[in-house]
Amino acid sequence: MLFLSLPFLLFLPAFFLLYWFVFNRRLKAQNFLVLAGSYFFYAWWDWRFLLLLIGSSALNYGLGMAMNRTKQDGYQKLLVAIGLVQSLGCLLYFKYFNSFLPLGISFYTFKTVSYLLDIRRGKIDPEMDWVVFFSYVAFFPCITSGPIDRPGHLIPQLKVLRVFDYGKAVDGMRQILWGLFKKVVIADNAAVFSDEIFRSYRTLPASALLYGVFIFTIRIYADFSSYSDMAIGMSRLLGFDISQNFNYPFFSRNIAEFWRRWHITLTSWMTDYVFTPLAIAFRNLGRWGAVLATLITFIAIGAWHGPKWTFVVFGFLHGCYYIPLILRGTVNKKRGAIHMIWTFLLVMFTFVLFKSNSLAEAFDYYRRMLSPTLFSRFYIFEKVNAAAMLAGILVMLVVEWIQRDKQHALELSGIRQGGIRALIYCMLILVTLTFGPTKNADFIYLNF
Amino acid sequence: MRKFILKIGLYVILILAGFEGLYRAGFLPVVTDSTLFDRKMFWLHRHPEVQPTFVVVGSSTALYGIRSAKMVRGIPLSYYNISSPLLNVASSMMVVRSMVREYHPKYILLGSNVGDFCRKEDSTYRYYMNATPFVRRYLPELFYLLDYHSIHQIVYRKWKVTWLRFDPWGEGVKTYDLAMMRRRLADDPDAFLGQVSFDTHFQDIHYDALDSMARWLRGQDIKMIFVQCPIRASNLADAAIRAKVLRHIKRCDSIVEANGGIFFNHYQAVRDNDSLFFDAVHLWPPGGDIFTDSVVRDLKKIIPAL
Repeated sequence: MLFLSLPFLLFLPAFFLLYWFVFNRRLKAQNFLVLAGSYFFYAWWDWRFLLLLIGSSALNYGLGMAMNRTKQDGYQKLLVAIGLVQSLGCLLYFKYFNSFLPLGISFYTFKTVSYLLDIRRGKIDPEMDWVVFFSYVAFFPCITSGPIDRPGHLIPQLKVLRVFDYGKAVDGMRQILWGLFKKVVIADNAAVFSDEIFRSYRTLPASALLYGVFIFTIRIYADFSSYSDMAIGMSRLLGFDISQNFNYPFFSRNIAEFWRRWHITLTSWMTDYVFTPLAIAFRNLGRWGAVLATLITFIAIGAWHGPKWTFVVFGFLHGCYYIPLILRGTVNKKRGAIHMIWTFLLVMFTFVLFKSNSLAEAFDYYRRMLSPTLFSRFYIFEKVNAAAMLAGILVMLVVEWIQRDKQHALELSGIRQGGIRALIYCMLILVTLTFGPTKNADFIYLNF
Repeated sequence: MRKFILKIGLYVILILAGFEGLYRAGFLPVVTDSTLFDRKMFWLHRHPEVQPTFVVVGSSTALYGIRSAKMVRGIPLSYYNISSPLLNVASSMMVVRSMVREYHPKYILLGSNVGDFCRKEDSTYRYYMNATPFVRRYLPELFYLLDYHSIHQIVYRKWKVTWLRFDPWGEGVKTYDLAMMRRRLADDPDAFLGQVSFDTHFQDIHYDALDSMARWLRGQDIKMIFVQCPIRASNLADAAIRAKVLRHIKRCDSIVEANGGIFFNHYQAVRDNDSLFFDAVHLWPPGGDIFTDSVVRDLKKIIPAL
């Protein structure tokens, strides 16, 4: 079941009503509904892979229980190793040796891996209640594309009876609405243009290629962040607080800040479980040790996206962008607005690799983009959609700039008049219903 | 909680009321890729008195070529032409199955054009046909949600389809400037006729669909009448193409008759008179009159009440 589908439009209100009106008195019942709903949501896509999800949850739950029973260091290491081999083995098999990727496998694998590693590091205790643990792994708003919440953050919330909070629910709806606007008006319209330009880039002038990569950069942000907004908003409707996944990344003033604002839960996961152990291992190398750890971490982030060299090089380049910052010790230094533009351009041009089918294609795209036709006019098809999309991008950037200190762009706590807030909601709803493309494109990160 | 649900309910009602307003103002939800088909279906469902006993199905050849007035005068049965541009045989089968469930006709006339067996199968009509008859007939507004398209597309389509008209029996009424088209045809016949090609790349899937449709109709106790529509003589000037088309016609004949249907071959109904076609496959109204007269003559031979 996908967020932008009729079945989900029926599923969510039904789940909401059951959750708050029927299963609202006992914690066990509430969690059982979360689990049943999550499995129903997942099985709607393909019930066969539900068995893989249940199997993976059961194994990691069992390993957690076994770790609780033993204090022997060697035995605990063995249990963690079994869990890692199963989780990462499945992920690697489906990602690199199979043409078919089970929905959300990357995201729930990260959850199970961090569960075992956090137990091993003494950060959390193993979860005894299987319904709580299975719900943590399969939590439906986040299972297909994150955010990747850590067990220490989500499991405690599953162990407390949720009570309806009007303010939280309203704020959740606002975040869903903002997500819908970004997805339908910006990402889906941008998909039409960026796909077409990348598909036929050999026949287009450099100006069109530049436009194409700009649009793709906006698209991937609008698409992925909109999913996160909707997932967080839905979770808030159900009384959960889910980790922020995007924090206005286009306003970053260096690449390190960009990654602290972009796909935050993945970056922080990688920092904790890949970068930090590597940095400790390479500490004798001084700053070059940090450089090496950064490069390996970013190559892993790139490779995580799929079995393509373009992703590996994409990650490697982002790692390289860190090198001057690490060597000069300016990773956390705040800079001026010009650096914001420079960081955006760096990110934008690197996305050519992300979007291209092969390295040769990516380099050809770069080569053609640097041709004298950079100032040529090109034909834009579907002008109505183009205007709506560009206006949508402008609105998004302006609103996000104004709201950059808030948790999400539609957090309207500063507007006291209910009528003005309602007017803003109505306008967003109207614009979203009016300016969508013919068909919604799938969320990009469903493929990862 | 109550306040929250009330507010959400109000927004939902607002949205649904907006869509209902659009619908009532004639902005039809986009259902298929065929504006004419959608419009015709909505028209049909807005006129519940239509209960056709005799239904014509097919593509634009049948839509424009089978003249309603002559059919209604010639056959004393309630009549409707459900044909739509680009409807290939596989899609026609879906339309027929749906129509039978909803209207229980006694006769289905498939007005066949050679190209109907060549166009690839698509799912253009599947979405509409898979919807329940109740939704199609009484709640077509639901298509706004069932197959959501943005409002600006719906508005755009409303203006785009204003030129589409059909008579009360579903025949496509051409509103274009006939004199202008004749001038263009005289000025540059190749360019004009080349707008619609005479395709002969037959696909097996459509023969299977025809077989399946004929067998299914026989099981439903509905008489299937297959009418091969007229073909421009110049399209058959090439001996190889002519042989290929004749083989195709023979194959259709054998499929239909093997399943208890009736086959009428009118490919030469407007014999040797290319001027009766306004492009490679479609008839001018006078050509349609000649073709329909010959169809009615044949129908009178096989329908007992006539």
